Amino acid sequence: MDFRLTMPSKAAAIPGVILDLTPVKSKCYTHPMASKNQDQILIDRCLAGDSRAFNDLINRYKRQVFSLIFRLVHNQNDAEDIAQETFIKAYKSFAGYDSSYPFLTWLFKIAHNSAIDFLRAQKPESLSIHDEENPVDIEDTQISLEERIEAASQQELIDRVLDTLPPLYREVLVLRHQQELSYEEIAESLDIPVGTVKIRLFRARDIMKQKLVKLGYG
Amino acid sequence: MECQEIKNKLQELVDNSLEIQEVTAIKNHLRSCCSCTADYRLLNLVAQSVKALPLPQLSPEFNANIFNALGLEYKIPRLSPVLKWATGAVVSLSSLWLVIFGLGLTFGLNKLDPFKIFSLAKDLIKAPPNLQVILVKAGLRLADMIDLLGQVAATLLKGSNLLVQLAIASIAAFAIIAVTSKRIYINSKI
Repeated sequence: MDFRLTMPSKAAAIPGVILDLTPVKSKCYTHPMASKNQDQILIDRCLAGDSRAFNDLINRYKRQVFSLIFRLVHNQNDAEDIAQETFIKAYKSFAGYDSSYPFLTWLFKIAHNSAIDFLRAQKPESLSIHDEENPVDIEDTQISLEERIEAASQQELIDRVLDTLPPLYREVLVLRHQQELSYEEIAESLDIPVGTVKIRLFRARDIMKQKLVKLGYG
Repeated sequence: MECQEIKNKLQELVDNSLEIQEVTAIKNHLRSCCSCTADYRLLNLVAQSVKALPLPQLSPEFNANIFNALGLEYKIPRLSPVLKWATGAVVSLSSLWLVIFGLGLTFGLNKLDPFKIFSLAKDLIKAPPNLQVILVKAGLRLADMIDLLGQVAATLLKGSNLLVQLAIASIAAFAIIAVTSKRIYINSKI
């Protein structure tokens, strides 16, 4: 049998076809946490009343903050409002920011809390993932045949499967794979123990995996 | 390792959080186990797909709304006068160069022998032989590219009169100015 490195694809689902054995990792990616010093300089300038520095900070992180919130609340307008609220709260709290933690983690914490407050007010049941050890019944949130046919691409289908997960599971997946935060950084952002991050992450991927199997993948 | 043990570790493999010995052991197992391989492939698919999730565009007023809510004045940063003049000069020179280059190509200036130019350059510089070879090779590549560009331009301009050639050169210059200005405008907003 021949095993070489390739990208995972539908072709790889065919028995005997070359298989991807490479762990997921980013290439040529500058981690946001690496710009800690630049963030601190910008925050100091903000505290000194320089609004252009604040504009720079917003531009630097608005997409990441919006991305996280959008995956939680699932509505563009609401996500944008909450993202703006996040930056407003951050601006008002710059004096209390502890520079020993990465700025993005701090920003994510504010974004997470704002989004959770919003969801709690809108639909409190959506925040329930029951017991962390015994998560949601995945049969309750299946993708319908119509949705499956409508989904034009594999990416779209997976996007829809992801949407069926509880927000707190979606959140850890986004923080881990899209924002590329470590377990510790996710724990810091969400204010939960590292063990809980791992459980949520593992459960989220497990549910995704099971749903994809039911949709004919794997 | 047994399948169940491997399956428990696959998520950590996806997260790159395993020791190298464990990674090797798991990969060895995956080479001979279709079930674990299918699991691993699905987990990787989830990770890759989440990473590639599309995101809607933010509204252009995003920053302005935050500034308004905080009672701060929001101004789109503008170019400094020095930068503005420098940009203008660069754009004008580029346009001029393009017009001259286009006309020059048409009138046969591209017929210059690149070998002669580089042999002259080689005599003039006192660089070590290895560096000279590199420079000459790079120069020849550049000459090839210029020659290709010349051929394309000559084909496009073939049979045209001077007015048509000037019009084509002007359109190209205008396109450069438009693209450069747009880029500068975007940069200034960022």
